Amino acid sequence: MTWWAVAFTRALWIRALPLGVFLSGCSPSDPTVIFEYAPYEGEAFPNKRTPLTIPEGGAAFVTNSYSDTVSVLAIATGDILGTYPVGRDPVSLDGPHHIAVSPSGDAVYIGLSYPVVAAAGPHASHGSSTRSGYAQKLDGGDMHVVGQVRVDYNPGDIVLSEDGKRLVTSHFDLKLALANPTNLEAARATVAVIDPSQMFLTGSPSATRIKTCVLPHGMALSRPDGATLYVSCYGEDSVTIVDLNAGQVSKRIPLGAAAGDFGDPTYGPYSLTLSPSGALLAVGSTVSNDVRFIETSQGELNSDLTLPMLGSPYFAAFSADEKQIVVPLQSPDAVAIFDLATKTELARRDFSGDECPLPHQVARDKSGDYLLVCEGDHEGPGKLLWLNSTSLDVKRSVEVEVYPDAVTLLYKEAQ
Amino acid sequence: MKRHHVRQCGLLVTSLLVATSSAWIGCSNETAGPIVEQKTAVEHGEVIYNDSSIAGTELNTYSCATCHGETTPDGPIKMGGSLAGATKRTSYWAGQEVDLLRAVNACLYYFMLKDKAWTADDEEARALYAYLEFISQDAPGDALPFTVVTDIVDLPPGDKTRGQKAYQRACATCHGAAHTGAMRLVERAPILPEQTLSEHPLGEYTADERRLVFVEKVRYGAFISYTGQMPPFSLEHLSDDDMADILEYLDLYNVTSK
Ligand code: HEC
Ligand code: HEC
Repeated sequence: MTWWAVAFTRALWIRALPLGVFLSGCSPSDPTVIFEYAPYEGEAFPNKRTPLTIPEGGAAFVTNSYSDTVSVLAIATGDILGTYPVGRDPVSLDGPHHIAVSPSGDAVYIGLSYPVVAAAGPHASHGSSTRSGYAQKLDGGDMHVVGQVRVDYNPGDIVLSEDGKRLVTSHFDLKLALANPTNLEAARATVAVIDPSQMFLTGSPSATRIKTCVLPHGMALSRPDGATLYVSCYGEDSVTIVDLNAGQVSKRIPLGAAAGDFGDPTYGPYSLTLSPSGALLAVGSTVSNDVRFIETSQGELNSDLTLPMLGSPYFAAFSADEKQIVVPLQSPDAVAIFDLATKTELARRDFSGDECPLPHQVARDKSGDYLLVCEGDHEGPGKLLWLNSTSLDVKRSVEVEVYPDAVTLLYKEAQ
Repeated sequence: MKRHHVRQCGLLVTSLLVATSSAWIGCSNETAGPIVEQKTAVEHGEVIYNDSSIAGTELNTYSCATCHGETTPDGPIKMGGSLAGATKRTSYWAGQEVDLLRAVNACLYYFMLKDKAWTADDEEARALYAYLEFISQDAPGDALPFTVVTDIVDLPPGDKTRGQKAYQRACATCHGAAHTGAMRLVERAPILPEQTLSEHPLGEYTADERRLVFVEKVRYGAFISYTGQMPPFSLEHLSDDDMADILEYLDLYNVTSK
């Protein structure tokens, strides 16, 4: 190390001070030395990432919530195009949960949930220590992080309006619900509404919070501008409609006559899927184990159409013609396809062993196939399965990373 | 072009006291005009690498060099590893980062408490890059192994003598001497072990748990269930045996009475 480097190492405060006030022991004749540094002319911190190119046939984006990565797979071939680390924290688990991709593919959004993972150690009992969630924006071109906004605890779902101008996270805040067992208003958590164009690495404007309901989870936005938000409210047995232009709840739709007191759900609505035309909302309830439907034009429950399930339904997908719905089920693990007109099960695939532990979300590919995410055992890799749309036969199975729990699809044609 | 002003003279002063009291201590710059010395970007980067003021907050007393560099058998343990080769690596922080600038910004944010991340256009960031590129010239570009211990388990007692040396190399820079904190670099780093034990009183914690606090903090640093400014020690930088030796040196296998 040269002498001047040492000088600067020690004289930590030099820059903050006016010239000439800071060194003792100098003899009056010591001259002042001014260092002039040449700027670096090369390319500093060149981007070494491999560009992500969406292939013919499209790509599936899967969040691996216990690996802090997003896997991107070619739908046509099952090839893994890339596995990208995401999140803010280089050591702790950020827990990327659900995922949304802009229609043009230029931006990818994830919710970071900071899950509490059971661990040993003297502070494990402090384990419920909560960290605020974040919504993070990635560049679709190579999946580098371009922005982030703090949201509330435990973001459950993240959705983007079709026009790409509204990003919303729901907050499945169990702590808040448990801390307020008798105070409904206080137990209600928020949704956070973000302007995706205002997401920066530092200094993003705050998200707009709208107090919504107890344990809001699954969400869907009306098309194209996302003026209306639908939220499944696990702790209130309802679907809540939020008018995002007005910034307030406009309606609460109880999921049935037996809707329980808050905190003691009879249905436990968890997941939500909007049909391709936007006419129907499918609501998967994990306490009553059924899928119920809401007609969005009236904002009413269709009380004739309830599909009882063998297990707990997770995030479902409609067929293109909206006549069928494919539902992933847990305990027992299965996936089933139902005809809505006759309310009958058309096909079911039961999973055993490590075929598809804990099916979580299904997405419909343009080819008609369904892509199903299997969480796995939360320690080893989970999977993405390609299913035949009528028989539900497994056409392909690809391992991703640990605890994948969401899939969303993007096609090149849209770019 | 950035100008650093310094008076050239033999004695280096680190005391902030001297710095903040604008006392004039017998130096005058009226007698001679300033001498301008031209320096390279690489030299600028080396200065930055060794400068804690880049964080822009007096709460920070670390420079990159506090934690990074080669660990020699008798020197301080550099738990951040050597950055020679860093510009050639394609993954950092055990694969959790793939961009060098983000890997650096993580340290600036978590350890050095800098509130605004560097961009690739910032002059200081560019000069640091020049320095990292320079020291990487002849170094391999393999990713550094960095195994964070997440399962905190009790360790069989180690060796006190070895523990003294391990403490000296791994902990003393920041915490100062055991039991007194003498010469510590960071004011908020507790005096080990007394201050930490008193913050984890018997009754609230079992004797074993009080010992495990030390293991947990060393393994997690500012992460997982902790916050703060302490870096995590990975298995590559501190083995379980070293850890057990330090616990023995701090007399933590006998914490029922404290
Ligand atoms: C308080 C200690 C500390 C300080 C100060 C610190 N770092 Fe780090 N740094 C670490 C630790 C610990 C790691 C993780 C080690 C690893 O990834 O192998 C790390 C990782 C890194 C990495 C990724 C290395 C790799 O290959 O994985 C880079 C690059 C880096 N630091 C640069 C810097 C720079 C530049 C500075 C000064 C501006 C700095 N660090 C300050 C502790 C520190
Ligand atoms: C680079 C500086 C640095 C080094 C090296 C370091 N520490 Fe720390 N340590 C801190 C700081 C600062 C704190 C205060 C809490 C915080 O900011 O994380 C701390 C806190 C602690 C605590 C208190 C934890 C609690 O829960 O109250 C323990 C125990 C501890 N350090 C042990 C060690 C041991 C043992 C070593 C050596 C193996 C070590 N530290 C090395 C900076 C350091």
